[in-house]
Amino acid sequence: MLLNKEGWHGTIVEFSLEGDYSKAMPRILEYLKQTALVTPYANITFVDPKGRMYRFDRATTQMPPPSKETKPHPYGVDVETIQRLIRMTQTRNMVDFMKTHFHRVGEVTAHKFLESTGISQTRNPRKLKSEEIVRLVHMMKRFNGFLAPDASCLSPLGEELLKTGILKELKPEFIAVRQRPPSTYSGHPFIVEAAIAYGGEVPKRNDFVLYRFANRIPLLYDEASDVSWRIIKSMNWRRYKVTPDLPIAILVHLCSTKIPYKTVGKEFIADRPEVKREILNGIREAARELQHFLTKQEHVERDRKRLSVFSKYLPKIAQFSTDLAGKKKQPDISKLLDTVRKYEEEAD
Amino acid sequence: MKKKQTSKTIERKKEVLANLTKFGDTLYDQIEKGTFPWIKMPSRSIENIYYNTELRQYVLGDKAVRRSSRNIRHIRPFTQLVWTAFFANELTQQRKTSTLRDVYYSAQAYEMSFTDQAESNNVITDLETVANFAREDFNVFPEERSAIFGDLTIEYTVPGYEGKHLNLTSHPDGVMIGPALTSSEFVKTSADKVIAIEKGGLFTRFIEEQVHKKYNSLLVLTAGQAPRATRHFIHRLNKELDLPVYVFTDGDPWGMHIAMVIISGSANAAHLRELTTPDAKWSGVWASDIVDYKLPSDPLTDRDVKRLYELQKDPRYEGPLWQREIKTFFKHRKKAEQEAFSRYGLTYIVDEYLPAKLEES
Repeated sequence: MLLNKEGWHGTIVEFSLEGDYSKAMPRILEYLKQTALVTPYANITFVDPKGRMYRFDRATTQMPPPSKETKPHPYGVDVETIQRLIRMTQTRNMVDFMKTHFHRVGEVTAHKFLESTGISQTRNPRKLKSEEIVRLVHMMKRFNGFLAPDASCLSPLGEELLKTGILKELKPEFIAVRQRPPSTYSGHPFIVEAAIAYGGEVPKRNDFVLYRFANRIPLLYDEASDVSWRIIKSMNWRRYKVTPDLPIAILVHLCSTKIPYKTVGKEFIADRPEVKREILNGIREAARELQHFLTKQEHVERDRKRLSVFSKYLPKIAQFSTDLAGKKKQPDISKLLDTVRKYEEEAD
Repeated sequence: MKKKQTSKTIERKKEVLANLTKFGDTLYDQIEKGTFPWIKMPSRSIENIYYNTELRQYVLGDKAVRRSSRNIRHIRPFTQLVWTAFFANELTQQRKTSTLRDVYYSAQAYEMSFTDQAESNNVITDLETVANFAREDFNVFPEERSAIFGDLTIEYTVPGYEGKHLNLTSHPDGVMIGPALTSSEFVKTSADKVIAIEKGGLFTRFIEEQVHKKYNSLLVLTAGQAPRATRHFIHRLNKELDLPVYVFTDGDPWGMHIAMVIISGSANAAHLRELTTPDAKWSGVWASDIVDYKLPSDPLTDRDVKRLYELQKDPRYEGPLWQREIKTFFKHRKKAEQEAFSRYGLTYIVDEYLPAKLEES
């Protein structure tokens, strides 16, 4: 029993695991740091086996709205799921079975779908034979009449919180955050959130720093196999005025009821065309904002240089030509410098 | 010979100063009126360089370039140009001289540093084009290495030596053609010709063999390609003293071109006048001399042959003598140095070759 002098409430999870800390240390710290990136509302304290304490303080008390429970979309279920549903169902006919246990299936959709399967609407689901179950699952994947799943069951972070997290951990000079509209693959709804941070404490690596998250869990391993990495590598960054020497971090957060991992290790995300397209669009939109920022920065820098060049040389021209002409008083160059400044403002 | 136009060099300096002042005035007024100072000057790009058959030298065409300090890329060279004009003005007023290298370093005192010598030289050439005077007129000289020897009395105009006379036979190594000599006035001479020689060894031989007396001549050592100050000096000897000029070089395309630059100038100096001596003669060593005198020779290298092809097409080489000699070079594919005459004894070149060649040309 723990004493609770401060009157805490909530949940405490305790567990222990064994490992080689000296070897795993960089990854563990990286994991915590990345977690802090996408949970700006959490205070994280970590005391490591050597007694060193790391703290990641919260930057906000705002949390994303909790996700809502949802029923499976027929497109995404397998035979096992159907069998489980049949065992627990209270329904007595197939129409009710479809309406009760599946996401976005109503009276009309249920009728149309069952017609396409050849299974009677009045059949008791508990009495279905196994080959009928297989046919049902098969047809669920082929039927075109289902509505797309809705994304209210997902829990994206939201642009504001994502921004807060990145600002807190990377203190970048510039940040662009994009949440893509919900989409689906294989009956699973998903939302992509992408962000690009430039400068500040973004590590300089002569390459992009990629932070990948799946349902707010950092993915640390097998970066090069991940769809996001491939997308980044396939993009023409020159278009966005980005060169490899710039300190740029790209963050990709995929929220879904089912993350399309490629392997059982759940370390990287597979190339699903629908997911890939959304990640690409998210990064592109953020990159476009970065481009505007870099272009503007370039202009400001160029104008600053222009002015400094003119302020260096014009007085000299004035001085030397006064001497050459044998005059005493130097001509007034302030008007000329003003016109250079005027250009500077126009560019802003 | 009588002294001509006593104040010629002094007049010229006045003109130079007036031009520089005018340049300063123009810029000053432009700034006063609130415009970014700018200038227009003839373009020195290769497309704007033409050979003028009347002047028998390269000249600049009508194309002009505008340099404005409004342009961010122009303002630095523009300022350098104005500084160089300012510096030239100081030099000329104080009657001091400077070298190209010196100009490069002096700029640093005004926080006007040039990236390298080439940039500084280029700006000086710009100033020559704008002001229409050679850098020597602004008292900027390259490193000197050429010399003159012979019976010519000059009068110095440089500070501390004004009015002093010097006879150019006073030193047996010859007198260096430097700033002081370049700006001097000619007083009198007994010579009736000028012989320009490419190499120092032969120049010394000629002095030892009394060529200046035997042939009544002034001897000029060009030391390779003649510096501009030397070309201008030869021009003056020819124009002011009416002396014919004979040029002796090695018998190869490079030697031939040394003579040509004295005669017709170079494309690099197309913006300048009074550096050429169109009536000067190339007296040898010709390709045909190599054959006629059976001189010890070397075969032409690929580089020599390539150069010959270039010269063959050069408008300066249109004359029959030049074309004939180029063909002879091509025919025999041989070249010879001036020293090659030593095979016939040390005095052969003076006793036999020289009189024959002076006769011929």
